Amino acid sequence: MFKKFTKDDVHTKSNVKSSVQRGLKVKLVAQFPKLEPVIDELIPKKSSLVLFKCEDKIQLYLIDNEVVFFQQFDELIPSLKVVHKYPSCFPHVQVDRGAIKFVLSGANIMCPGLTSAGGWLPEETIPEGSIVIVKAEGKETALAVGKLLMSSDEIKAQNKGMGIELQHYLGDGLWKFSPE
Amino acid sequence: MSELQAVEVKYCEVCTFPLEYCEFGASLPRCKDWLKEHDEDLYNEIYNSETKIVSANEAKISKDLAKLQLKEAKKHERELEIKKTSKITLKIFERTKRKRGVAIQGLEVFGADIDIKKMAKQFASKFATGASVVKDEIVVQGDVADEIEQHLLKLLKEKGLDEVSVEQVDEKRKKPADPKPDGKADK
Repeated sequence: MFKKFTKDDVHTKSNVKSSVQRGLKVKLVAQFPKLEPVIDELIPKKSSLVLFKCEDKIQLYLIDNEVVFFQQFDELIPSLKVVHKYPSCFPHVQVDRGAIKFVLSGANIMCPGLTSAGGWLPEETIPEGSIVIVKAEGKETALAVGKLLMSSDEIKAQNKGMGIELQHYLGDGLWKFSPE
Repeated sequence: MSELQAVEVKYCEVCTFPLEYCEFGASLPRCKDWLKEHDEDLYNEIYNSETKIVSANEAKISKDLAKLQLKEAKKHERELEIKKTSKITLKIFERTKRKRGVAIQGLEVFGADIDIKKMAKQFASKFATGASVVKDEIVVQGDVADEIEQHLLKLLKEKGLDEVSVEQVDEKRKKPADPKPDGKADK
C-alpha cells in the first residue's frame, strides 16, 4: 500500500475534532482491546490529532508530526513506530528468517513462511481480516503490519498461498514519510 | 493493573531501521560503522554474537544480500563522488540602482542533505532579506554573497564534504569584480 508514497500524495490536512478523536479512540480500543491501558498515552486527551487525506483514500492520523495510525477502509492500522513502542498490544505472528528479505521489499507473506520452523502462529485462532504485526525469527522488533487473508487456523491447515496481505513495512513510503 | 510501559526501540541513523534489521538493509557497512562509533557495546552485542541461526537456504540469501549491499555501496560512492566534484555557484546580479541579489545554484545535488526550501527560509531570517526558491536555486535579495559563502563552507564541512567548491560569479561588472578569489580550487 505504501510502496510508493511521498508527501505529494497528501491531499488535505485538517485537525480532527475532539469528539471525533474520542470516537477514534473507542474504535481503536475495540479493535485492539489490549491497547486500553495505554490509549491515553498513545493519544493524549489534549493532543491535537491531525488527519491527512491521501491518494487512494488512505487516511493518516498524526500527532506531533508522527504518524500514529492510518486507515484505508474500515480498520485502523497502527504505524510501525507505535507497534515498536507497544509490541504486546497487538496480535502478532512470526516469519522465518528466509522471508525477512522479501517482506522488507513489500511482498505479501506466504503461509509456509509462517508455519515453518522459524515461523510462529499463536495457539488461539485469529480470525480472517484482522490486523497483525509481523515479527521475524531471531528479532525482537516487528518488521511489518499486515492483514490476515485467512484465519490463522486455515493458514496452518492449508499451508499454501498468501497468508497475510502486507500493509506497512520497514522502509516503505510511510516509514520514510515525514510531513515536513 | 500493571501499567504497560512503552518500549524504546533504537533506530539506526543510517538506514532508519531498528538496529537489528540493519543487516537486511542495503547499507550495512555504513550502518555498522555508525553504530560502532556511537555505541560500541550494542555493536558487539549485535554483530559479534551472530552465526547462531543458520538455516538451509541462508547461504543463498546472504549472497543475494551481499550483492545488493555491494550495489548500494557503489551507488553511495558514486553519489559522493558527484557531490564532491560538483560546485556551488553564487551568482551576484544587479537589481535597480545599487541593489544586488545573490542566486545560489548547484544545490540540487545535495538534495538528501540540504532542504532547499528550508535553507532559503534560514537565509531570509539570518540575513534579514527576502529569500525564495526559484526552480533549483535560491534567490536571496541582498548583497550577502560573502556571508553566504562562509555559511555554506561551514555547512559543507559539517557534512564532511569540504572538497566541494563554492565560487562567486559577478554577473554584471559595472564595478570591479569582487576581489575575493574562489573559495577553494575546484575539482
